Amino acid sequence: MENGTKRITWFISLILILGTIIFSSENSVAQVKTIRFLADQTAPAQKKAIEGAARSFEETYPGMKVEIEYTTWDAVYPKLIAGVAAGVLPDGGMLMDMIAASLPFEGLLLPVDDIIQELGGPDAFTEGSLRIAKYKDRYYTVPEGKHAQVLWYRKDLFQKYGVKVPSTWEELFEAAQKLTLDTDGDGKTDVWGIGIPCGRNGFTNRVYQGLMWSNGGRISDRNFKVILDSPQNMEALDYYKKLFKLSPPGSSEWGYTETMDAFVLGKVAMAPYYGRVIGNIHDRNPKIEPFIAVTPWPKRKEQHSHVSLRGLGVFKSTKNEKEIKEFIKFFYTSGFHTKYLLATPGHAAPVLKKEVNSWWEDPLLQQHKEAVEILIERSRYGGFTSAEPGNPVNPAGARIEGERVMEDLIQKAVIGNMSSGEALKWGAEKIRKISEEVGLKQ
Amino acid sequence: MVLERAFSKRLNKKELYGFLFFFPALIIIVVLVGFPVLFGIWMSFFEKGALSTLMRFVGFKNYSTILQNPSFWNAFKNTIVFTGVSLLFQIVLGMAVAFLLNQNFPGRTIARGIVLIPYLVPTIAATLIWKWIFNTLYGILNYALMYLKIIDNEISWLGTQPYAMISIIFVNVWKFFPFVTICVLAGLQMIPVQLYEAAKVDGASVWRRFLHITLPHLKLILAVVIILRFIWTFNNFDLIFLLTEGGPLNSTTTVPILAYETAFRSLMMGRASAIADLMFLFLILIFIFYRRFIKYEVS
Repeated sequence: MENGTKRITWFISLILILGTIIFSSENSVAQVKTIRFLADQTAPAQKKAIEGAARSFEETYPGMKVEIEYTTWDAVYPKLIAGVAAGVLPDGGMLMDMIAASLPFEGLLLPVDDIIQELGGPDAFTEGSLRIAKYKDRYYTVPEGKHAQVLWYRKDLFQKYGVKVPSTWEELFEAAQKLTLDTDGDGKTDVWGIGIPCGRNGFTNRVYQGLMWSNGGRISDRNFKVILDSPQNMEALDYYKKLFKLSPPGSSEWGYTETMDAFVLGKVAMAPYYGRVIGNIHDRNPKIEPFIAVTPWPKRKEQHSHVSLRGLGVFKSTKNEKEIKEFIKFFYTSGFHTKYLLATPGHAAPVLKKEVNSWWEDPLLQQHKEAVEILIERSRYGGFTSAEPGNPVNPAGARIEGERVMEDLIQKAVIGNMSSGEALKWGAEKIRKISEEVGLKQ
Repeated sequence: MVLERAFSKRLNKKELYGFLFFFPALIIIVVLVGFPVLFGIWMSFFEKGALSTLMRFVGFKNYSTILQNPSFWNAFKNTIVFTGVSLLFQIVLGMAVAFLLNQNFPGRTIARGIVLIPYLVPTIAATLIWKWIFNTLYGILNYALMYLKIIDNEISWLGTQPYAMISIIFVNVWKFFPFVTICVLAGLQMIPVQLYEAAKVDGASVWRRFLHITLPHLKLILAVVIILRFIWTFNNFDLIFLLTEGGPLNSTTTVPILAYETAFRSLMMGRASAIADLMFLFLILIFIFYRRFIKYEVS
């Protein structure tokens, strides 16, 4: 070919390729508007409900496309950080409790008062659901679900060995001791009395916090002054150490999954966990399903446990505010939110009053009615690091959780060489520093 | 040299084509490596919240805070232990396997392929498998050791000290010794067989043949392998994070893990950048000293 012809051929080919790319793009501005939604719940059944909502929304609103961006819940912060730096945050998303509580302080969320009103106003929500949704008189998240931590136990073992269902710390310890069993007579323990996590993760903190709050202790007072190194917290930590000795070997690595698995697989007679146990036992170990039951964490001076309050939020940087709010509203009004809650039956209590009856229709919830009623009842009490029982939302909460101060101090006391007092003093100093950096006077 | 001549416009056509082929890769390296490194160095002089775009100049404050923080020195100590011990075992095991694979035996080709498997398995898959092997209650390692009556009770391999450090070193050696093996094997195959034959005729023992023939021929290869493995092991994040997340009690928290936690948990990007830059500086110094040492040895 002549040079000139060659050049023309290359030029035309380039134009054709570029034209094909531009005009065959699904995101051609004239045709489809895309909204990006962050989801941190990735269990298959939950993903199915979220995807179902997205596809149904697209059918209801032609010209709209919903892109669900999945991430694990502990990767949400890195994703948000990268998004903020690059200016590419999603339009909205699901936010776990500490993130839902902290993002309004960071100024990253848009108010969602309009969605709350369209869903029926604050009175349309169940008790306690809106606790962290409000910041400076505006709502910034729409509650997604409430998860209460309770004590799961094996009725059959309690009955067989004549052990009383614990309602005090002393009874709990005694029950755990009596139910550490060698069931096959080989001289080795096969069932441990209780599964207590001590891994460097949020669950360790959340189990300890239930004991700490029930003993009247707190991380901070109502003015955010750190009071972690109190005698009540020391007593609670000493008790945690005592209980840990009755937990299976390896529980110094345990987090959510390992603790739940130990109960589901019958390795422990009791374990603290949330409602997700119901679906897991049903699917993975149905032979012990008739024998599982729930009781609240024992009462001491108060009676609290960890309660997670998740929410849906709209990021301030969105250019599709109307559309993402429409999708969030659709998620609730279309019935997909109930489907999403029932993807993990019993794990998350409904937040909208009008969902409660349809939620209860699930056969698995009916089968475990007593347990689910306790889970719902307990979701009205307790809190989490950013929202301790009786306290306003703590702006330092996300940093305290993010830096793993509580789990580090628990590990120092339980598997390290520190006394409970020294560990709490260490933790208190760290949290005071964090609080001052966030602007809270100590 | 090509660059100098390119800039002085004395390149011939062949060299120009070579430069043009190399230029896109250079752009990619500058953009994807150079820019983030320079941006990180710049950010280390600022206080920057991870969820904010606001930055406040603080000079060397981030560096002084880190260098006075016992957590940093704990992480540095852990990194040196992890890197040093891993490297030693990788080199020794890698060389031993290379010598073995250099012999003639039936199935040698298959054996060479099998040895590569740990290196080829993605880190995430490898760590998940090892997490299950090390699992205290359900893991096969404890089961086998108790079955053989080597231990009476389960060991928490990833949840207690010093087993956590031992376990991550073990997995790191398992994963990366094949790299050493392949490099050393390539070197061994370049050594003329006649040298060994002549040495045997002269009555040289196995050890003397190794010292005076094998090792001198492998020096340069080992020099490159050692520095590369040192840098890669020192920078290792994913394997340790997936196995122990730096626990228990920060006993396996290394400098890369500390940098990650400072950025994404403490939400302090400026300080995290300073940690990363200190790592970078340390590795550059190591490389400079190492290069001088190697130059001296080679000359």
